[in-house]
Amino acid sequence: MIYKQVNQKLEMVLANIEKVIIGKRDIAELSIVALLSGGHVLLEDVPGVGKTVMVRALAKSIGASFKRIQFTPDLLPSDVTGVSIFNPKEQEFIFRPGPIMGHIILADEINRTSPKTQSALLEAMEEASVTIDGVTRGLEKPFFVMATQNPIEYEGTYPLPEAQLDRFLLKMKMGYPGVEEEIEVLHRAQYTAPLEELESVITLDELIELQAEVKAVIVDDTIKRYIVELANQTRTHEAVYLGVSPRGSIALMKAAQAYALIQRRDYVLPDDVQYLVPFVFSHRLILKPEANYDGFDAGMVIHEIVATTQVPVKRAVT
Amino acid sequence: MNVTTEKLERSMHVLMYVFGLLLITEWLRPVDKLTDTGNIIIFILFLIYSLLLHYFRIHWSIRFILISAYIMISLQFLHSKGALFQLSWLKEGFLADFTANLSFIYDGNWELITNPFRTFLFFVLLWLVTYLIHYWVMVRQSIFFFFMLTVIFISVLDTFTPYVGDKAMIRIIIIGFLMLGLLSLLRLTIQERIKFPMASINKWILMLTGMILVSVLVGFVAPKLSPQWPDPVPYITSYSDKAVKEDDGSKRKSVGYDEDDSDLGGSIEPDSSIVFYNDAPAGHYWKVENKDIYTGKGWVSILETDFHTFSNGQDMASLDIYDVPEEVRTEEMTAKVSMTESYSHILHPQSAYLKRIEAKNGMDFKYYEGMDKVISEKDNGERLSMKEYGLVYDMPSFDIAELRKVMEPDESMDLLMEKNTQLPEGMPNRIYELASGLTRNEANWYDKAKAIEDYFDGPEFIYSKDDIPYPESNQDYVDQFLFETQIGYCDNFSSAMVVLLRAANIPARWVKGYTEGEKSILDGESVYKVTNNNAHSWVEVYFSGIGWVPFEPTKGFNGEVEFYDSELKQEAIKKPEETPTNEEQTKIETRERQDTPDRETQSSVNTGIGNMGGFLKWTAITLSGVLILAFIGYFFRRKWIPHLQILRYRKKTGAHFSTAYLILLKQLKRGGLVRPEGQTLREYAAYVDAVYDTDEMSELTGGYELMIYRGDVEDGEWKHFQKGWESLMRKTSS
Repeated sequence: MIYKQVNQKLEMVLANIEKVIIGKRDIAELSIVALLSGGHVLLEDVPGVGKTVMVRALAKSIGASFKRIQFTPDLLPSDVTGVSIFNPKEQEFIFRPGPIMGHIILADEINRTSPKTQSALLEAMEEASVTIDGVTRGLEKPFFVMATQNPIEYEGTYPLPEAQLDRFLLKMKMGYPGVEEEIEVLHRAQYTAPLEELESVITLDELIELQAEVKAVIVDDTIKRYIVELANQTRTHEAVYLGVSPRGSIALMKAAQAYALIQRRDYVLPDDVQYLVPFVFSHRLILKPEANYDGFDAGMVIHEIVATTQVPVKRAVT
Repeated sequence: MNVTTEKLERSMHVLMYVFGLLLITEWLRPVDKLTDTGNIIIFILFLIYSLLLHYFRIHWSIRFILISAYIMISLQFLHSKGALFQLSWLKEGFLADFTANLSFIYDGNWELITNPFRTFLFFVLLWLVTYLIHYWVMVRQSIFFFFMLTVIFISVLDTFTPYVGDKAMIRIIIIGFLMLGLLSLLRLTIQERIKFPMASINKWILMLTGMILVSVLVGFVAPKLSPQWPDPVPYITSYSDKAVKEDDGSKRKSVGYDEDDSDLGGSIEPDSSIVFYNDAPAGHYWKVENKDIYTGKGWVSILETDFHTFSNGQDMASLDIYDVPEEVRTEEMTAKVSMTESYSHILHPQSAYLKRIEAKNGMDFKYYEGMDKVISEKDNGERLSMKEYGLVYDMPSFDIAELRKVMEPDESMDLLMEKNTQLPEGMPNRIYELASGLTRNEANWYDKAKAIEDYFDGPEFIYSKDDIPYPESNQDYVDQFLFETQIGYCDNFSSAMVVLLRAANIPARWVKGYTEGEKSILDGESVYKVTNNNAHSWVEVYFSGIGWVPFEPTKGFNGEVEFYDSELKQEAIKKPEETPTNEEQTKIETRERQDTPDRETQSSVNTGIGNMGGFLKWTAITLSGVLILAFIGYFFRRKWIPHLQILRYRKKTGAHFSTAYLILLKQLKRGGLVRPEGQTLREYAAYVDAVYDTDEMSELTGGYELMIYRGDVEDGEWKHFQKGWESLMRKTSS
C-alpha cells in the first residue's frame, strides 16, 4: 500500500532530524507539515535554540539545497532575489541568482530588514516566482521558507505587517530544551558534529510525490464544517478585532491533511484540526486593544474557541 | 505495612454503618420525645437488623422475607394482646386492618388510620432509610446529603417544637464530619487506586478527629450572635389550633360561635376544633339564632321574655309557632347531633320546620320565636348543655316563582316591618343610594334580594379572614366594608346584605350558626363534622305567605338551600346527581358561585372522590401506579437501559455500529462521564478507558472515526466491535 510507504519515508525524515535536534519532534513534525502542504513557517524565537540546525537537517534529509539569508537593515531586495550584472566580455547581462533561488531558505531575523526587502521575500513566497529586470523567474520546487523573528528586540526592527503574516502557514516557537535533553545536546556537541554526518533519506522527487499525497488525504464534510465553524468563531469572538480569513481556513485544512499523513492516516480527524489550530490561527488574529490590556492573547482566545466549539461526532450529511 | 483497598473498604464500611445508625437514631430520638410512640427500642433494633442484612449482602429476596418477619412479629408484639407468632393474627388482624386502612388513605380520612398500620408504615419508612444509608455509603460513598438532611431536620424540630436539639446537633456534627472525612479517604483510595501505609491512615484519622474536636469545641465555646431576624415561630404557629387559644391577649379573634356580636370587625384566626357531629341526610347550614338590631357596629338581640315551652319529644306543631305554607314543599328528615362543645342552645337546620327534639326524658326546651332560638333546660329551669339529641324536621325547598310574587309588605307585617327594617340613626346616605341603585331595576323582593346578593360576587369584594380592620369610632361597620375595605368574611358580607336590604325596605335579619361541615366517619358511620371554622352568619329575608328565606351573600359559600322554579319546568338548570322529587318541577340550586376560597372546596373534593364510580377509581389507581413505575424507571434508567440495548442489538445483524456507538455515548453520559463540547472522541475515549481501566472505548472509537471522518461505509464490522461495546455498556450500568 502506497500509504504505508509514505509513512515510512516521513518517519525516516523525522528520525534523521531527531539525530541532530533532540526533543523537538513536534517542531520537526510541524516543519514537515508546512513543507508538505507547500507552506512556510515563521519561527518566533531567541537565538541559539537550534533553528538553523533544524532547517539544515531538514534540507539534508531531503537532499535539497539550503540557503540562508541573514536580514540586516541595509539588505536590498536584489540581495535576496538576485541581480543581473553586465559582463563586458560577453557584452550582455548575466543573471546572478540571489539566495532565494534555493529549495530550503532560512530567513533569519526577518524583522530586522526594511519593509521593501521583506516584501520581496514575502512576494516570492506567495507567488513562488520573482521578477527581476522584467524577467519572471520561477523558484525551485519544492520551495520552503523558514523565517525567524526575534521577539525580544524591538529597537531598529520593522515588525511584519499583520497582512503579511498571513503568508506563513504556521507560526511556532521552538523553546528551550528540557534539562535531560540539553545534557544530551551537550554530550553530542562534545563528541560529534552530527549535522555533517547526515545523509539524505528521500529524494526531492519523492518529496514532490509526498506533496501530491497530502492533497489526497480525505477531509470529510463534517471536518470541513468544523474548520469553518472554528474560523467563524474567531470572527465573532468578543476579544477579536479581525478574525481568520478564508485563506486561514484553507491553511488549516491543508495543514491538517499533512499532519494526518504524518500520523499515518489518510483521513483527517478533529484531533488533527484541534492540534494545529493554535499554529495556524494565532498569527492571523488581531485582538482588540482592550483585550490586550486585559492580558488576553491570541493563544487564550483560540484555546477558548476550541473548548467551546462542538466537535462533530455524527455525520453531517448521511 | 500497606493496607489493601479491600481491607480498608471493609473496615470503613463497618464504621460507616455504625455512624449511619447513630445518625438515624438522631431522627428517632425526637419521635420518642415528641410523640406518644413507645418502645422506640424496637425501631432501633430494626435499624440495626436491617443494616446488618445490608452489610452481609444477603440476597434481596431473603432480606425481604427476614425484614417482613421482623415487622410482623413487632406489630404483633406492639399491638396484639394475644400470644406471639400466631398465624391467625396475620390473616384476621393484620390483613383486615391493612385493607381497611388502604381505603382510609384512599378516601383521605387520615385521622382514621389505625395505630398498627401507622407502625407498619413507620417500619417501611425506616426500611427505606436503611436502604438509603446503604446506598450512600456503599455505592455513592458520599453522605453529605443525608448529613445535611439530619441537620435541617433537627434544626426545624428545635425551632418549632419543644424538642431541644443542642446536644443532638453536636452529636450530629461530630458523626457527620467523621463520616464525610472517612468517606472521602475511601473514595480517594478507590478512585486513585492508592495504597496507604497503615501509619498514614492512622494519621488521617487522627487529624480528622482532631480537627473535628477542635472545631466543635470552638463552635461550642464561641460567643453566639442572637437571632438576626424576628422569631418566625409565633407567626407560623399562629396558624395552628393551639396557638389561637393561647393568644388571648391580642385583638385577633378566633373563629367560632360567640354570643356577643355587638362589636364586629377585626381579623379572625382559624380554629379547627370540633363543635359537633351530625348525621343529617344532606349537608345544610345549622342555625343557632338570629339577631335583629343593627347598631352600626354589630348586632344585638331584642330581649325576649316570651317563649314557648315544650318537652322532650313533644310535637312542636302544637305550639302554633308556624304554619307550613302550601307554596313551600317540604321533606321530613331526622338528624342526630352529638356535641363536643357545651352549649345550651339547640342547633337546628336552617329554615327547617322543627317538629320534635328527642333527648333525655325530663328535658324541657324553650323556643324564643323572635330569635328563632331553642334553649334546653332541666325541669327546674336550670340551663343545660346536652351532649346528644335527635331532631325531626321538615326541610323546605322554596319555589322561586312564588317568591317572585312578593313585591311589597302586606298589612299583617307591620310589626315585623318595623323590627326587621330597623337601621340606626345617621346611617351614611351612600348606603341608601347603593341599595336603591342595586334594586331599582327589579320588581319583586326576591330579585331585589338576589341583586344585592349578586353584588357581593363582584371582583371588588374579597373573602379573607386576615387583615380585617375594626371600624373607626365614628364609622359604620357596614359602610366601611362596602365602600372602603371591601375585604372581609361572613360577618361583613351578611351584615352588609341585611343593611342593604333594610335600606331598600325589605325585611331581613341576620342569622348565626354553622355551615354544613365536612363529611367524616364517626364510629363507622358517615357523619358531618362541624368545627369552629364552620361558624358562619348569613341572611334571611321575609316573604309574606312564605316566611323567612335564607340568602347567602358571602363569597365562596353556597347556602345549601334548595330553590326550584315551578315556572321554569323543562328548561332545567339542575345539579346532575340530584333527582328531582317532582318530575314537573326543576330545581335551581343556589350553588351558583364558582370561586370557593375556603374549606368548602376541600369537603366537596373529599366527597367527590368518595362518590367516584368503581371504574374511575380503578383508572385513577392504575394511572398513579403507572406514573410511579414510570418515575422509578426514569430514575434508574442508567441501570436498565444498557441491558435492554444489549439484548436489542444482539438480535440485530448487519450495519448497526454507528447507532450502537451513539447509544454508548449517551449511556456514558448518563453514567456521569460527560464529554465537554470541545473534546474530540479520541480524547474522550482515552478518558473513558482510563476510568474503566480498559482499551475498549479507544478501539470502538477508532472504528467509528473511520466511518464518520473517513466516510467508510459500514459493513459487517459490527460483530467485530460487539463484544467491546457490550462490555462497556455493562460497565456503565454497574
